[in-house]
Order: sequence, then structure tokens, then C-alpha cells
Amino acid sequence: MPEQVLDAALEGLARGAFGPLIGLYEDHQFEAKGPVAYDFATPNSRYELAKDVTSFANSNGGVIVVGLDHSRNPNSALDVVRGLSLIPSAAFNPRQYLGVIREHTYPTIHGIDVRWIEHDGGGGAGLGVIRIPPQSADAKPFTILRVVEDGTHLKQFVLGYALRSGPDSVPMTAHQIQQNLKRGMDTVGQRLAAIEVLLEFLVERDAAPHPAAEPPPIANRIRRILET
Amino acid sequence: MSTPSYVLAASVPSGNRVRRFFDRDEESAASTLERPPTFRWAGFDLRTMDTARLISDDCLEVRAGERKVLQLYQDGTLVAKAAADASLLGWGLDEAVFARIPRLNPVPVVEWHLAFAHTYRRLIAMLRARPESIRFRMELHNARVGGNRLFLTQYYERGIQNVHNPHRYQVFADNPAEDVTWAAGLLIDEPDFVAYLLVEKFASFFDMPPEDIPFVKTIGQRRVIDVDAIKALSR
Repeated sequence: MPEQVLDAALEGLARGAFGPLIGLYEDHQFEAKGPVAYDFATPNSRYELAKDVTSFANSNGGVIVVGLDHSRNPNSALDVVRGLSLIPSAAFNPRQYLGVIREHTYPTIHGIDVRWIEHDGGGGAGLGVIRIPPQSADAKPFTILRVVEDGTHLKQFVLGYALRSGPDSVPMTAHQIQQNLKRGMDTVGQRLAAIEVLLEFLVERDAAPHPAAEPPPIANRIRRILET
Repeated sequence: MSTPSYVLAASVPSGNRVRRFFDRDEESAASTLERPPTFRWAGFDLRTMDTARLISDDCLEVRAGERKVLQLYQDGTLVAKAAADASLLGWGLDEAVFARIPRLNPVPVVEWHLAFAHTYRRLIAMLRARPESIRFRMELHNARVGGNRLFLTQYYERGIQNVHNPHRYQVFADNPAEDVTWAAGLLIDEPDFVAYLLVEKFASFFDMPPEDIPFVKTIGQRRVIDVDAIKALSR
């Protein structure tokens, strides 16, 4: 979605003018949620909020709006906001949201703004808005901490990492997390690794001629992508 | 439940390679993976909003979760995986609905192949030598969802929900596959025609007749994907 379209809609949102939100598509900077997106009654819902917030923090920031009716447009790859499902202020407690985010993410995500905004038509109904500003690259990655408690008060801490990929908050698999921690997420390291590979290629190319190896069959590569 | 997936791959004869494979400037292969050709905003294209990364010493990858994965090899092979469920190629509100009615949406089916053809056309221009031919490999995996076969329907402009008993073209096997090789010049000069040929092959997995493939126009003797019709979907 063009940035100016989202910016204009958010500007109206701040004033309680919600009309421009209708017709907006979800994307890497905007997520629409229904009126009961995060009820916090279960550990899973707290995890979902942490996942969504950290995915924006690990990307370039974004905004989550609670109280929107959204669904998939069959002619498009993205969900579109169809209407408003406004919520009362009692259903959206900013302090509770901030508390859950603080408890379930690491390190601290700076500048998060959580507020309930009343519709400019009054009536005591509005939208919940969670703004995640762009974060310093040095602070990344932001991870998800999940506390799981069973009946015997046994606690387990589960570390997770999510990245905003288009309209989705995509959690990394354990293997991906381990590989990234092993390699380091420093872009300089990645560039150095790429230079090393290039040097190796150049050395091999200038070495004594040898029969060119047949590339792996396409079937192996298809199997590889299916297994990732 | 094993997720249905569609893999489309293109490769050139051995001995070729992508020039400056490790570069990151705007003219690089990595940049093409990150910003592939698109036809409209929010289309069913190859765009992932991801940053290309080396996953091995000869393979760049971008991905959008499990919905879309693109892998480009230094020898010029491009492999693209698309989720053939409600998250991309399928038409369903959620997994539960899709498990009961595993319907593929003809819009992403056509647009995905169109986007792949144009993306690979851009990539083969970066090869060290112009290839003579391109081999395409198409594989549909896990085409049975909860005991129900994936199926295709025609495209209904007024919405399929308004159509009584639409005809279902069901997939003929659980894991159909197809191999074709065409002259590289065909993709370079007529990518919309190659895109149509790819869609026709995919439709043959469902025994869907060519005349039911949407967003097609005829130029001379050739049926090609109508890019303007795809663009018009977003107006």
C-alpha cells in the first residue's frame, strides 16, 4: 500500500475519523484485528500479541488497529478492511497491553504507543491502536518470551523470533533461530562470508582444469525447497 | 495435514552462471528476488518483502513465511514454492473451510505463473551466456486435503458465491508433475505467451480445458496472458 495512503488514514484515525481505514489493505506496516483479537485469557493470546509486536519491531515498525472487520479479497493476496467493529474503552486497556508486551518481549521495544481512540461520532465506542516505531538496528533482534505454567507451577521460558513479512507476522522455526544465532545476525559478517565464498570460487576457477561437475538434478533442489 | 504446495522451477543448460551473483546493488540478482516484477498492488506475485540471504554458498533465498519461497542458484536455476492452500493459491477464508472445500483460486494461479515468467526473464538476462533453452519443472504436492482433492473452477467476475453449482475441475493425482523445455528466446521475447503455456500445463493437472483459463487474449495465433486484465483487478 502506498505509504501516503496509510499515513493519511492514520492521521484521520488519531482524530477519531475512522472512515479512511475502510478499504485499506494489510501489509508490512499495517495489521487489522477484530474486536476480540487479544483477550489475554490464555497464554496463547499473550504470545500472539508479542509475536505481532516483535515482528513489526524486527522490521521497520508499523501499527496494529483493534476493532476492524477484515477479510480476504479473492482478487488480492491481502486482507482488506471491510468495516468497523468498534469497541468500548473498557475492552481495550492500554496499560494491560503494555504490560503484556513488556513481560513477553526482549529486549525492550522503545516508543510503543498504545491507546484507545473514540470515534468522532461519539457513543463511547472506538478503536485500539498499537504503534510500534522503527527500532534501532543495534537493538535487534527482538524476541518473544513465553511463560508457560502448568498446575504444578512449573515454568518454561520459550524463546521465539518473528519477522514481519508482507502482511504476515512469521515466527522463525527453532532451526532458523539456531542457525542465525550460530552465524550471527550481523550484516558485516554476512558480507564477509559472501566475500569468502567469492574468493574460493575465483581460486577454484584458476586452478588446474577439471571436468565441470554436473549440477545437482532439479529434483534435489525441489526436495530442498519443500523441506525448508 | 500435509500442506498442499506448488513448486515451479526453471533452469538452463549446465555451464552457465549468474554474473555478480553476490552483488547487492539495484541491478543484481538479489535485488530482482527482493523486488520482482509486479503488475498491480497487492497482487498474487512473487514479492515477499524479504531481504535476499545466502542459504548456502550458491543459493539466494527470499521468503514470505511458508506462503512463498524463492531460491535462486548461481547456475541460473530458479525454484519457487507457493502454498496451494487458503494462504495463497487457494480460495478460502481459513484452514477449516479450505479442508472441506479445497478450491484453488484462478486469479493467483494465473498471476503467479505470469510473475514467474517475467521474473525469470529478468534473471536470465544476468547469465554469463544467453541460454539456448529453458527447462521448466512443475510439481504439485499433497493435492489431497483431508481426503478431498484440490479443484479449480472458472473465474466468475460476479463472484463464485453467486454461481449455482460451479463446475469443479479436480486434480487427477495426488502429486502431478510436468517437465517442458522451450527455447529461451520465447521467454525473452514473449513472456506472456510462456506464462500462458505454463498456466495451460498447470490447468492440465485438473483436466481444465484451455478455453476456461481466465485473463487470456489472442494475439495472432497465440493465446497469451492478458496483463491488462490482471492489472484491472485492482481498479
